[in-house]
Amino acid sequence: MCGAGALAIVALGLVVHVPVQPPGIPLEYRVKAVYLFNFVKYVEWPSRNATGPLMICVAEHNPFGDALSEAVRGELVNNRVVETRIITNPDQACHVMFVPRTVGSAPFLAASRGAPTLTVGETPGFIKQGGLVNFILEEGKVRFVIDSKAAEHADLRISSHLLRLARPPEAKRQS
Amino acid sequence: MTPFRDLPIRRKLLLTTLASTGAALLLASGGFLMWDMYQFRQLIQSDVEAQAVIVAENSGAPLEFQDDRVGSEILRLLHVRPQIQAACTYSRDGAPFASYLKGADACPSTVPGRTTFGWRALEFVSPIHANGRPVGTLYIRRDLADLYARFWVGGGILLGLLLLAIGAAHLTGTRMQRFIAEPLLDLAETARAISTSRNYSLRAVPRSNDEIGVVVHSFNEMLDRIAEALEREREVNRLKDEFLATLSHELRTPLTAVLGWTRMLRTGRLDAAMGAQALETIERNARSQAMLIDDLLDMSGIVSGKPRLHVHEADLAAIVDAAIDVIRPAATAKRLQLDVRMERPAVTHADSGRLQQVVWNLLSNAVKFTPTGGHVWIRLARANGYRLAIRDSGPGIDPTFLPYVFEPFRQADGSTTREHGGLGLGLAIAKQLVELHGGTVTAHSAGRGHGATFEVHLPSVVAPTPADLPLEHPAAALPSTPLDNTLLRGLHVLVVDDEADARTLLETALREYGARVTTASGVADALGKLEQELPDVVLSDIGMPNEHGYTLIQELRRRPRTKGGAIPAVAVTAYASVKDGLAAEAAGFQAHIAKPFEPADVASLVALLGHPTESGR
Repeated sequence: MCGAGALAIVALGLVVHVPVQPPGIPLEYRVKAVYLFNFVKYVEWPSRNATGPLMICVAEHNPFGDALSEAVRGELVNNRVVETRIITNPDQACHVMFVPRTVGSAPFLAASRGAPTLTVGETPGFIKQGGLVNFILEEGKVRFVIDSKAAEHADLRISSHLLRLARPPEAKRQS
Repeated sequence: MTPFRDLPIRRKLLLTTLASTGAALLLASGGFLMWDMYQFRQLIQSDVEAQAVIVAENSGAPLEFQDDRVGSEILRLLHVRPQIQAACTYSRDGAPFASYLKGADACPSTVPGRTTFGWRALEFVSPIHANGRPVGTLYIRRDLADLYARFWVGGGILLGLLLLAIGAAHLTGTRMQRFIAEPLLDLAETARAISTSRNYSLRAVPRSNDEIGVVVHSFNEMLDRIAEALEREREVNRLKDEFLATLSHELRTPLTAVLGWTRMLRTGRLDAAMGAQALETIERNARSQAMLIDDLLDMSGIVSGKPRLHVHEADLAAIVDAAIDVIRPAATAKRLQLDVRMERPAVTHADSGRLQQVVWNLLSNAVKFTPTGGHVWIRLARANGYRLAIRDSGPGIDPTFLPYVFEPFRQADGSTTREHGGLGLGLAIAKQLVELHGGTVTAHSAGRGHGATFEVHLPSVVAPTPADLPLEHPAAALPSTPLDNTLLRGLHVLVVDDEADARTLLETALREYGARVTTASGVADALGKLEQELPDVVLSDIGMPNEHGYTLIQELRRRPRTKGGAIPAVAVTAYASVKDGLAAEAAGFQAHIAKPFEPADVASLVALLGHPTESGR
């Protein structure tokens, strides 16, 4: 089974499902918004960044509408406030940086290489380009792939619980 | 079914052992099983809890990321516990999320409320947390089949052990109960054997020194006593048989002479000398028989109650003299030397007649048993009272017989071919009489061929016994007089007796003494005769058919003096004991005479009663 075929089916499914959803943000992004917040709970950042709010950044274009800010509102993780921000340029202060498929990921990935930022993307090959987490669709459900080695290099400690939920990397899946 | 208390002792002991062993083991093993079940139940619960903690821990993330596949994978880890039939996770809003089913059909459609330990399964419910926040619920259903399996296996093992233990208890109980049951069974068996065979020489074997041993000993002792008593009874019966044989022989011997010579007299072919000898023989034998009967009656009086003593001051030396006078002819006939040495006077209080009987008995024994030409020594001396010793040079007494010499019906030679006659009562009577006087009589012998010594010891003063009566035996007190055919002249005597012979004998005797005699054959007849003419004296038999002599005297004594109420009356009876005499006197007779009587005695008594002034009393 090739990834493109699967995606086509999923896209078809989404197309079918979207009109059923209430107007506004599609389900896929409302799920991804919650997942982005959940990632914060399963990742430990280096201690020099241990104070201040936990920052979830969205590169350039926000596909979530209000869903992301709703998901993090009033939440505390390890006694830290979680905030969201739309960035146009790479920012070292981001703990999580989501790059939507409509945005070119290369400049953002390059900027955060080696930095303790959990980079999350949603385009195939995002991991190959140096991203840490990539959303995929599996039987219409949002799943993700994690490059745990790269995360280690980025000095991020990802919980085994999260790693267990991660799907194998695309290279292996496609081989 | 036999009730427990009727079971044999063996069974009872065994059942007791088994019941107590069984009860103890059942309780112990039951308790152990319950404890083990409790422990195992705790173990199951804590194990499920531990599994639940791990699963809940890992189910948090899948729930947060809504990854039911991983959620189910995690639940599938529980396959290491095959007893877990179902594990289900529910999201926070209560919707079923993931499940692991093995043997169960489906997860509960709604979230179960709380953990329950049921009969069939443990249903464990635990919240699932992620990063400190509840994200769902975990439900685990664990089958308890292994608990029951363990129960049955454990119970089976314990039951097996129980049976083994009871078997062992049965074995040891069977062996140990012998110590209790066997002596008892032995005892019971012996008792049964004795009661069926009546063999009292059987004995139970004592095996132990415990209570059963004591019972066995007591049982054997009782048997000893019973055997002794039976032996005594047998001996007494033997003696009685022997005595009856002797009695028959002794009574028949004089009777043979009497009847034989009487028949010869009736032929009328005897000459005068022969006739006189015949009469003398008849009289001697009749007297001998009367004496035998006296002895018998004395003995029966002694056996049935104490004979009465008529105690007065008496000289023992005179009593012995009188007894020697009686036996002297016999001693002279056997050319025996009588060696007499007595302190005189030897005054004491005694019934001289009875004591004379004693001395005469001892002397006649000495004379009887001493061979011709032998010696008899007689000594009377003071010795804390008086001691009379009579020793002879006869054959002596066998040491084995010595202890029985004073027992009634005992004779050293009880056979029918014995050399010496007699009933064997003499010494028994003598002993009783001496003891009535407060004295003792003993026999000594150095053995066969060394002669025998009889010693009588009497206290110097004999206290009168309470039974003493002031009234003397009238017949015994009367002097014997030569036949005087005028003694009863002018007296009218009424003789009452149902036996014609006795009536005629009395009538003849009284007529010989000059009396006028009327006879009556019974009480009614006598009362009729009394209506016609009042006699001077009434002689009446006591034992008569229909109405006895007591009725007559009572009837007579009720009458007024003019109707004969005061006529002197004499009982003439074959009931010859002292008691009978007293009864007669109490009934209203003035005196009584025992049959057979001496005609002279009867005449004297009638004279005394009929002519009170002439008798000179």
